[in-house]
Amino acid sequence: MFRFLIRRLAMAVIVLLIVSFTTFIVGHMTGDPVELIAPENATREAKEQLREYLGLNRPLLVQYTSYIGNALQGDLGFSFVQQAAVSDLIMERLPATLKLAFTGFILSLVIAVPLGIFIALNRNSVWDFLATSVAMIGQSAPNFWIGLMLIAFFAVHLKILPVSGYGGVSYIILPAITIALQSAARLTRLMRASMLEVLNADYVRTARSKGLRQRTVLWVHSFRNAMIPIVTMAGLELAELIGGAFITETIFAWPGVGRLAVNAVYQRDFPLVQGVVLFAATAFVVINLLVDLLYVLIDPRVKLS
Amino acid sequence: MTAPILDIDDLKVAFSQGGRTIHAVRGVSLTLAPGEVVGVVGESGSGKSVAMMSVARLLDEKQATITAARLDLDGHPILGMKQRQLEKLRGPTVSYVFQDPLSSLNPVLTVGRQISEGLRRHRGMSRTEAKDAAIELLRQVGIPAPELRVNQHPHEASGGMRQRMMIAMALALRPKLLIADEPTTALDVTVQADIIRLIQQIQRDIGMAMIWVTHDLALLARVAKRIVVMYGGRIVEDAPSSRLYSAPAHPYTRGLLDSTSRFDVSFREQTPIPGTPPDPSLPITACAFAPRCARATDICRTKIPTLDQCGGGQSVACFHPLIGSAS
Repeated sequence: MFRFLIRRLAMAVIVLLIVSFTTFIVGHMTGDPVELIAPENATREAKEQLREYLGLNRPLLVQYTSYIGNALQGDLGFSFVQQAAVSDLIMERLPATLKLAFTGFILSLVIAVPLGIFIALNRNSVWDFLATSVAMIGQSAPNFWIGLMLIAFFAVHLKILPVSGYGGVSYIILPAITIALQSAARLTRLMRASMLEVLNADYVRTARSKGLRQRTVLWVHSFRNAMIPIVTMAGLELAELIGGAFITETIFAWPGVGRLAVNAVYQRDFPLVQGVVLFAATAFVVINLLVDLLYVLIDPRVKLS
Repeated sequence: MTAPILDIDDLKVAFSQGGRTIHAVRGVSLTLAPGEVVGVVGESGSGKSVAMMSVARLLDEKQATITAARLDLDGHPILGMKQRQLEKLRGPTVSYVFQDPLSSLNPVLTVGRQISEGLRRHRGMSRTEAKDAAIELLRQVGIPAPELRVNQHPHEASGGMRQRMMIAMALALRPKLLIADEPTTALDVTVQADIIRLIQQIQRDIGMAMIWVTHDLALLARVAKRIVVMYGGRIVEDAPSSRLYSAPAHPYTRGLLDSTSRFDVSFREQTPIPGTPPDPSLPITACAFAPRCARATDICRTKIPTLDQCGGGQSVACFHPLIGSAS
């Protein structure tokens, strides 16, 4: 257990180093930050001074090392555009993102898991056909289209929900549905396939041959095995949502990390972009680590060594 | 004569697969007395496994259609039964040992759990009672340190150990009929003999009826007093094993014996049966073996032979059997 954790943590650190290094280099290649910060009529000397003040005249590797050193202490740099610390900006937006991500995620699981099981048990029925068709459409329809359609119908036409913004429960419904639908479509299809595979497994036949009740065969012998691939996929979905539902947050003017990132890119707020990317990557790595730990609980074949 | 434990008359099983119908079993009749041991032999696709799964209705009935003039298990007509009633027979009346113990055991549940759940379901045992019983069963099937094994998962055991666990599970309720479907095929040759001996010993101890399903005639010679040969979804010969080996009546049985590995016959002298098994999606109108049979005549290609007595407890479905009038 301990060795497994150490190894996974080491891998996580390597992943984060690679991500941070790549964004750092790419960010520096897209243009001179000094040109962005300094007023247009600034003199060469003033710009040079600013460069020196910000430490941008040092070799790239030195700049990167000090960035990582600061990041480890929770300091992700300073956004000149917003005149605020990057970590403060992210932390400020994090609650909104987490709220949306978890609402959408839970909504997606609540739809996908029971529905996937139901249509697997009633495969080739009308329900199966309907649900798989809708899931197929849901999976192929882009987020911005679903979001806009929901706004057009519920906010503009029926006028029962707000168009966008952040506030009470009514504000989260449409964006949560938007992010949940795609995720639910993917998970439903996977749940169905996984359940069908398990229902055909030899050990399910064995369970039936012992005269166990149908519900025991289903919930004890089939369900847990069928959940194994779902856990991986659900972990990835959640990580993606926390890392930033960029499009959905932008459509619904949801003040989360995703929208922060989009604005940062527009304004070429390089330290902020870098901070958000690092944050998203960390979320990904941490959730994957949790998924691995969860595996140990469901699948005894997974050994922690 | 005591009432049979299993009474099958004209069993037919068809699968519908993407618009096609696969006739896996095309009319099988078989009666088994309590405590009787029968071997069912046939090549893959002969319908032997499907026929035996039908005994407890284990097939996926969304795809399989089972019909029979009679399908009685311990006096219960199982074809009209509801799932609830069937569940009560599965375990105490009929039990199965399957081919591949790794895939037939649930990977996420402990061995003890899988053995004890039948006891809890059918005997109403408590958790601790059932666990103690599971440990005792593991001991009986020759598993060392059963009190440790009971808490382990199937992947932690070797192939032979897993099959012993499977046997412990199948025998937990001392069934009246055990169906062993190729119980040693997936195992190493070195452990096959042990497993066969174990099953035989337990069969004698409990006095249960048993069906060995296999494609291995040499194995059946050692375990079954009576052998049923299946071909193309039908029984082509049903005979006491001594008689079947010394005087097979059906040309297909003869072919099987000739193609079976024996120590005293070199590989070159073994004769395979020419041709391929019949297509299960086509209806049958004649002897299914006729296209591969050297003795076939016109009648074999136009009429279906019935399974008839030919003396000495032997029955054969052939117009030109190798004994009696033909010899």
